Amino acid sequence: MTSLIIGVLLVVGGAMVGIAIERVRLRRWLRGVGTSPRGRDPASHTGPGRRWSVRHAVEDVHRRAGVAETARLSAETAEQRISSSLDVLQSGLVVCDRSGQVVARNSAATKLLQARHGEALVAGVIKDLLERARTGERVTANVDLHAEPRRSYEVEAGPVERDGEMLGAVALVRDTTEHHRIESVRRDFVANVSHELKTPIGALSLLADSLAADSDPEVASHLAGRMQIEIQRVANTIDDLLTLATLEDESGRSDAQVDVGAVVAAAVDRISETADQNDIKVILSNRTSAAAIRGSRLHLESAVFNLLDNAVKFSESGGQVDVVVEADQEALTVSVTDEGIGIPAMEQTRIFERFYRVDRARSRSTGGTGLGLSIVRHVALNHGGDVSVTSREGFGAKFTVTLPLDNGN
Amino acid sequence: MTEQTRKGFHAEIDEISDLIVQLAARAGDAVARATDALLKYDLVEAQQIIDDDDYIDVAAIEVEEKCQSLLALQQPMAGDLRQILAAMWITGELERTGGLACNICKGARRMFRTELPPRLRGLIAEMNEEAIRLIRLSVDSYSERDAALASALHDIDDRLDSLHRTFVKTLLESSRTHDLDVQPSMQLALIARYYERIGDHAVNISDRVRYMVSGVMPWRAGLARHRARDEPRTHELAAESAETSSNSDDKAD
Repeated sequence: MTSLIIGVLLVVGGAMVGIAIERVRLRRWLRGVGTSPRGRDPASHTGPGRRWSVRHAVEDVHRRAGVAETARLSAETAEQRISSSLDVLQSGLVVCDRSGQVVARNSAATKLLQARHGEALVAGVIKDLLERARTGERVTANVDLHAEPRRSYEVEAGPVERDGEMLGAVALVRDTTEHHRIESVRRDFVANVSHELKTPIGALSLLADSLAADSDPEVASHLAGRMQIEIQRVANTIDDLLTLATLEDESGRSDAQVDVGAVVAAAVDRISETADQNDIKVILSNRTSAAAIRGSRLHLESAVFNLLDNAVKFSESGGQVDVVVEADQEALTVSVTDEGIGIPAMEQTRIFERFYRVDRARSRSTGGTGLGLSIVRHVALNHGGDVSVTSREGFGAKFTVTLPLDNGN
Repeated sequence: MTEQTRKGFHAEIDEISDLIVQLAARAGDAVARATDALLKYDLVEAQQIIDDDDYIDVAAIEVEEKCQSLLALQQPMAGDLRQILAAMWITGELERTGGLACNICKGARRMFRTELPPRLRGLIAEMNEEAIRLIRLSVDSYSERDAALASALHDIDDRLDSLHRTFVKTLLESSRTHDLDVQPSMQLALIARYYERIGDHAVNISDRVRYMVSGVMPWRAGLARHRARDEPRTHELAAESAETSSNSDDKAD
């Protein structure tokens, strides 16, 4: 009971002391208002020389409270602006204080730090690097994730210091997947081009040397035959390069009405001899009724022929190639499905690159220029469409060219 | 005041669970890398993966030690205790997963210079994907404490098992048609088995998750089966002697 009374007394006493202090403060402050120059604020009602009045003081209190509120709000807005700007960034940003506690991070970083699968490795590296950065070191690390979807990250961390005092550390995480992809496309392109062009030339030079050294007519005719094969190879490569060059030149695009069914039938007709020789059945089923698109008949036929050529080339004898032409409201699709060796999953995104070979060592035995699928893709893109592949290695592949229909507009 | 109490018991448990997620990411990545090395005939990478397995071992030991010190210093009970026990078991499973990735690399090394038939390559890639999917699902069930997902893993694992069977069948065919030697054939059979085991470890993880969440011990099904097998015989004996048998032999579930 007594403790309750004491408690109540304390509370009341405290409140009174508080009020007293507040009154003293208010009085002092009001006195200050009455005398101090207010020239800084043009909207002030209590400018220098003005007589002080309670009304003015009350207005001033309200205004000052408003200013403080505005300042607080603008600080908050600034912080929000910075944080939402950082959230827009694709790169992750993590800031930790001196003790290693994370004090700020943007949404990209949050996603990585809360990741559960492969990206959890990146989270681990971020933590490690922040730890090291807090000792004053500047560190970078690359993290490659090998499980699908394959990704690469670059993590960079450094200490945050002001006037020699350690405040914490900051880490920046960049997704370098695309960068690495472009890099390897460029690197492989140079290697593949030189392989594709230099190999037949090297062979020709050797064959010519042998021919010059040998006078036996039988050997000479054999060598000449081999030279013709190599010359054909170079000629094919140059032809395909020229085709690609015309495909890239949009102005050369023909705008004629093309019956795709007829184009596919013509391509199937062209491949049938090779297919027969290798005991491979090519079965065409056209499920459309005279579907036409605007474009180049020549290019479309060459695209379909390239797909058929690959399908036959990579099928084992006795296999089957299915060619299906279908159409719905918007698009027409031509798919070529084989039962051949298929394409490894990690190569499937790359096979449309120029001169790219899944197995370079085997490219000479299968022939071709390494440009076929690039041509297919270019033709599809030129007609507003695209080409895609689905495959299991060892269980065949299915290439699908999608061409948007000309809806009479 | 010790560091233990200052950081807070649950913060420590959360840290353990973060470490397990990272360990799983590392183990899954090792499996994917091993598959790459195998399919690209890359011996340097294979050796690197074997060397990097030490990181997995170190990380596993770190989790184990954290668990041990929590058990010793905090004497956790009920859910907390189950969580720590589950963490210790799961760590063991993940460490083995990393070990199996090394075994794949060693297998790749032993059959170097053998060109793999495309079908077998395709199936290896699929087993790899499936194994990694199982690891990921088991980690999902662990982080979300999702007992339903954990229970589903047994069935999801069937696909990897059937891939394994297809692989062995295709291997037998290939060894006839592709003149695959005994040594690489044997290595390939073992490698397929490693993937299948990785799937089993993921299922084991999911069993531990079920235990962590609900307290049931799915791995004791074998014990129940064993009892159920023995029970009828005891019953017969009991029936012979007194013809009074209690209805308690449905423990098998």
